[in-house]
Amino acid sequence: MKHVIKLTLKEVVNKRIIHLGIILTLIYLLIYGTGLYYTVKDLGSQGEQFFLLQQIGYQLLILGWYVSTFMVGSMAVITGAGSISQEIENGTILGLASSPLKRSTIILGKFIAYGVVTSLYSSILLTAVMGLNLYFCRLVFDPWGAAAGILIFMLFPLTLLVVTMLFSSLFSTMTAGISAFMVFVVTIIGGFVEQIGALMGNTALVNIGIISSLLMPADAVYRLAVAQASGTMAQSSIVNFGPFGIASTPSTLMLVYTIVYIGVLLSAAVYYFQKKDL
Amino acid sequence: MLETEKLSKKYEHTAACTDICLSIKEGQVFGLLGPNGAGKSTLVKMIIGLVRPSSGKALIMGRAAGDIEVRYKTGYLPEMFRFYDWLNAWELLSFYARVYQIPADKEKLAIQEALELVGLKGREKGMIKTYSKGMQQRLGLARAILHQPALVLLDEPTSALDPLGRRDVRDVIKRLQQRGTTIFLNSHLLGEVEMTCSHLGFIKRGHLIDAGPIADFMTKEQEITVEVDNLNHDLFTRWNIEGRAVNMNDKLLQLKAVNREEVPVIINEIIGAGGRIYRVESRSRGLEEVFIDLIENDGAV
Repeated sequence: MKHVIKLTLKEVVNKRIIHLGIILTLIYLLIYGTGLYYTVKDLGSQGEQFFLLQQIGYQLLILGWYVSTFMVGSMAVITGAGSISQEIENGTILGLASSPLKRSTIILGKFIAYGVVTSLYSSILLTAVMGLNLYFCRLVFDPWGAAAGILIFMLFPLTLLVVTMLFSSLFSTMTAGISAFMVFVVTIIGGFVEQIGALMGNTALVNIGIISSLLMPADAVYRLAVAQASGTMAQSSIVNFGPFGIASTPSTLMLVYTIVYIGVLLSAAVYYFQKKDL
Repeated sequence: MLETEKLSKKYEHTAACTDICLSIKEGQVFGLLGPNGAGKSTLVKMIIGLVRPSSGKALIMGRAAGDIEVRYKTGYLPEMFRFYDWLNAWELLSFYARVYQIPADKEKLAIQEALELVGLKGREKGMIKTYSKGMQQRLGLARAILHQPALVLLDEPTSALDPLGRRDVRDVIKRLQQRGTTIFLNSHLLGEVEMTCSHLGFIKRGHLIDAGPIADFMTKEQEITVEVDNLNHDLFTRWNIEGRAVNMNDKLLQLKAVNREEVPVIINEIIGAGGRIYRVESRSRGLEEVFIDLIENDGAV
């Protein structure tokens, strides 16, 4: 297993798309930080303006996290889409699969390596977004709550990664990537619908959101992470009554479901890869 | 060393391999010949465990194909060889040395030996993406023999090589044979097979139509050329009826004998019927002729 993990990590380091992703992330953080800087500059941060700054700062924090989900999600889909199928398409899998490595070891090793990279990326990105808000808007975070939120959010790329790797063991790289991204979009829309449903008191809309979260719990993980990280700030903010907010916070049981979900889909990826003729 | 019992692979509308029964003993160099699409690569992939058979089984050293323990003793060079081009050759071989559990203190020596054997010594630090196709094929061969396996399966090992490269691969095969390694060679390069293999199998549309020691195929039929005067026409007619593909052109008689032992019998018949012989040449049919005859004319498939 450790050989596959090391090889996959080395592959990630060598992938140009990952280098590009890092550069784009830095650009994103630069733009985000610039936005915060001018917000503070224009609003001021003294007296009554401080309360307003806190409210707007919280809105921008939620927005920053939400945009981060797209970046983390894209990273997970890009790394996972070709994890199996691309190796089959270009023939490199023949060397690996004819060696004494079990096919389950190949899948699990790749999942662990990609999982470590994407989780690490997501935690660094979220911390950076929080840090910028802390610096410019002087938002106050409960450090344990923030840490718990970031830890929970690390499940977000794993849910996307496991879906993408399952598709990668079944379909071509292109189909796997597009299909995984479509599932991601469905769960995002499901999350929107759930929040709007909660705002309107419409149970049917809330249920649609829950069903979409069962299909892929990425959005639920995001909202749980936000609830944990923002703590008391969330209770007093108007931003919670919007599609990015946490008007409807998923049950903590959703975390258990997400872990089971990852386990089941990973087993399915192993099963299909073991059955595949190479 | 390697046995297949009614090994078959069926896809939705086609049968890639049907009831393949093979037995390859330790130390043999077995060449599998067949036209493109005959099922050669599918057969090898079933043996190494990359493709699941629809029915039948393959056994290597008495264990099922794909068994992890067997893979430690098996080397494989795929036809569509590709490696991680973001590694250099040394890094790739080092990765596989660890996968094959070559002890750390022997890893360096094993890699050096493999690189030297395939002619890549001195090029090991070059990135694989800068390698030519021929160099990549050599690297694939190095990977296949790195752990000194008892059985090596080579699927078209010289398809990307120039004549010198082909000669090098033949030398590698000979050296492996001297070590006692059993080799399964898939190829449609007849000359290469003729020079390296001790045993042959012919596959056509997924069916193994003949297999055995190469000498059996080469000596089965002889082509005789006789410079003769006063040939008896009754003999000529009889040979025609017997289907010996007889041909007479300006005192040069050409005909086929079933085997080497028949050659003196035919010469005696010519002399006995009053013919005067000036020159006799007898030669085994080349592998190309055997191949074409078996593949084109075999009515069984």
